Amino acid sequence: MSGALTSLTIAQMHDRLTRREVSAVELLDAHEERIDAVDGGIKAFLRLTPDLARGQAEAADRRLAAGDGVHALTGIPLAIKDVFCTQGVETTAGSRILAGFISPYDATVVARLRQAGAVFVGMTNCDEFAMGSSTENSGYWPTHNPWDPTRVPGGSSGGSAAAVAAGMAAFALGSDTGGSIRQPAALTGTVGFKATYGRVSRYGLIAFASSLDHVGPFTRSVDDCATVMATIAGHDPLDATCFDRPLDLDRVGAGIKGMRLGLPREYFEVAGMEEGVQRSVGDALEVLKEAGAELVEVSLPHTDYGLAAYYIVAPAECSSNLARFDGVKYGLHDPGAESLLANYLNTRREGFGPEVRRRLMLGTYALSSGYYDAYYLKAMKVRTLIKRDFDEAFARCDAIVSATSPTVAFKIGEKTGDPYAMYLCDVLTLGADLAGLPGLSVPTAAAGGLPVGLQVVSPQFREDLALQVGRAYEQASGITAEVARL
Amino acid sequence: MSSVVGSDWEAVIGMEVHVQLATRSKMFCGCATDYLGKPPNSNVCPVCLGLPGTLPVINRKAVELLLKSALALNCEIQEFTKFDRKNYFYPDLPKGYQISQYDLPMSRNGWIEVAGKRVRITRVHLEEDTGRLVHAGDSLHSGGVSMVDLNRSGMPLMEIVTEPDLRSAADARDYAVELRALLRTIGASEAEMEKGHLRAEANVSLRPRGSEQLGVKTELKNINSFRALFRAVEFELKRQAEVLESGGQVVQETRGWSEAEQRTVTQRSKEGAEDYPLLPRAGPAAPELRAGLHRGASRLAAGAAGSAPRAPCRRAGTVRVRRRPDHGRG
Repeated sequence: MSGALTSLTIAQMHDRLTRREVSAVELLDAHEERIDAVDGGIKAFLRLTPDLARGQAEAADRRLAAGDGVHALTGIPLAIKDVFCTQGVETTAGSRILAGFISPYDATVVARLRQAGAVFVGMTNCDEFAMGSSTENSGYWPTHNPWDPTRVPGGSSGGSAAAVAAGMAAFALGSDTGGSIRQPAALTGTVGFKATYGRVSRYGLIAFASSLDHVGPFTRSVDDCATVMATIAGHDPLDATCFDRPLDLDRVGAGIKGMRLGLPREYFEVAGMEEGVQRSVGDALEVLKEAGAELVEVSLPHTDYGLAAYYIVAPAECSSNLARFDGVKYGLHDPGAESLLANYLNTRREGFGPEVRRRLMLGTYALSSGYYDAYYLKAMKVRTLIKRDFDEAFARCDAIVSATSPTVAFKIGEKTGDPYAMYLCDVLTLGADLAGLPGLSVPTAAAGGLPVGLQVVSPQFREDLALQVGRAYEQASGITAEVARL
Repeated sequence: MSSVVGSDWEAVIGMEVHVQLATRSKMFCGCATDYLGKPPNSNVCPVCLGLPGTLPVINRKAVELLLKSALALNCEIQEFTKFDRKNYFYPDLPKGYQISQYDLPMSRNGWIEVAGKRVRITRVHLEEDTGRLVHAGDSLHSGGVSMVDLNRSGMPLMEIVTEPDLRSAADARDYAVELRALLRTIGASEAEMEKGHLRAEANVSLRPRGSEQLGVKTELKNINSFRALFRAVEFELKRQAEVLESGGQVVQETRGWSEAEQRTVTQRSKEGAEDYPLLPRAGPAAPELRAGLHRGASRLAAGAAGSAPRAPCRRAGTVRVRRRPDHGRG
């Protein structure tokens, strides 16, 4: 019974809740049982919020009983990546430096989901400050892939992806700066999406790289993804980059007959592409063709420079964004430090893990006087070229499709000794972040028992097109996000 | 002509003035600006505390007041402007950077007439103020503890920088007096020097009369009145003349005016130099802080005769300066 409840989509749960076949409290109970049963091995959650969840579930039941103000997410269990400030809950961005920081305010997306009546199950593990592709850079512990616990769930939003893949939450919030939603979605067989830069408010998202940070959901269907997007998207006066433009998702189910889908040559020739992934994505393309899409080859000629530009821009921005963690106001600090400088140095040396320290040093260097033009400004110029590549490609197609990740989930520990190999995990996803474009990952046929993802990137403001392609694929292939048996 | 400087030397003085703008809310959040007398850390919110995840939203009224001031100072309004981050570590700076403007200030190239002479204005830009440190004990080094009060954190500041066009302590004072009158007339600031609404810093140097080259300058701070400004510059010109005439060289440094001693004294680069090791770095421009200005400024100029000034507005590809939700107070 509980197994059945935790495998449902949001739409199915909502259906049962509104027909009063199940209560929000029962739904929460089922998820908590599931967490008790499996999270010891998966370690998706950094902390659970049972009291908060119970109160929200009871409130949802009252709302459902009254039939008043019921939202599609009322009573639906949600897992929140530890980078979203959640009022009254410890929020640490997966870092020791923020241990004990209880946010006094809600991120805008969290507030919107709270208002909708979602039930906050807990905060999920991630790479520290969202820097990583495997969740192994967490300041706490690595998260395991529900499909094979000896493997990573991807990252940085690995805890959120694993929670949804293992049936510990119906949906989850993630953030995507270089692929941190789409890549873990691919590696866990879930649906992951990030919209146009500025579509979803970043207020309350603990900043990694301000010009690249995107917010989005993990779900088990494209329709669910659209439901969550409709709830969290939209103008926020607290984020001046958040634009005021309606998100029209009415045609997500309209199919793809006559749509032109672009296959970027460079994305199919990327180094390290596994055969299993290639085969699965190749089959997916056949399905799309049979569903009526026209496949056209396009080119994104500056793809090779994307990774380099990304690893200048993102560290530069993070070196400034993470300056506030100085041990003076909150989180970790060294009470025994004999001077202010010693407190700064000790706090930051102790509080940040090796990958964060590496990026802080890279970024500080890239911004220091004399190097700013050579590194940061040049990288921003490359970024403009990458944007232009996409613009030119979209002149020839409605959306771009490719693999999300060149590999399936890799073994825990396999890439931790080689930062560059880890950075290559994002080679197919970071272009859409640099260009600020909507990007979706939907599960395709497994390769060797491990999930594979198809990525769909659509033009700025056209989230609907990416979702339309994903929805059509889901329907035509019959492959949907499943909950891992554990 | 300064009375203390002999005919061999010419005084060369430029001014940097920080003006606290007469807005009702802070530069990037909805907190009130009338924090004086409030208990420490009571006039704060997640944004001006620099809590994780918070974002700045530009105060429309502050931009309006800057544009008005810039136009009154005959400045060119720039078509595009952005804010930058000045990164350094200090406990009164909760984000680890100050939001200010570097290469694209809102306005440049103006002038103001002071006692019949034109003083050129280099630039006028917006930034945010820091919090303040309160040192326990009798002096900084005996106290052992410093406390942070962030009530002032995020207050809107306008910085007005002149070219080195002033030639005497009286010129420097007259400039500040003229500036105060102008800012009060247009309602940009209460401009009370004693209350810190108007903080003047003078860059002072001497050069041999007839020379075109600039001498080594010192930067004078901690000036809390027009009288202090006059005396500080006067003292410094005399001090520098003595140094030069005795065959020495002026050291480029920041000097503070000591009201008690009536002299300028070498300042530690900041309270406790040993705790201030990192040079400010330019940070990336925050994406939320880019704005097109020109149309708004033209409207403001056009409206100067009658209708209420309008704020900057959207240009293609730039971000609109919006009113924030939490304060229609401006």
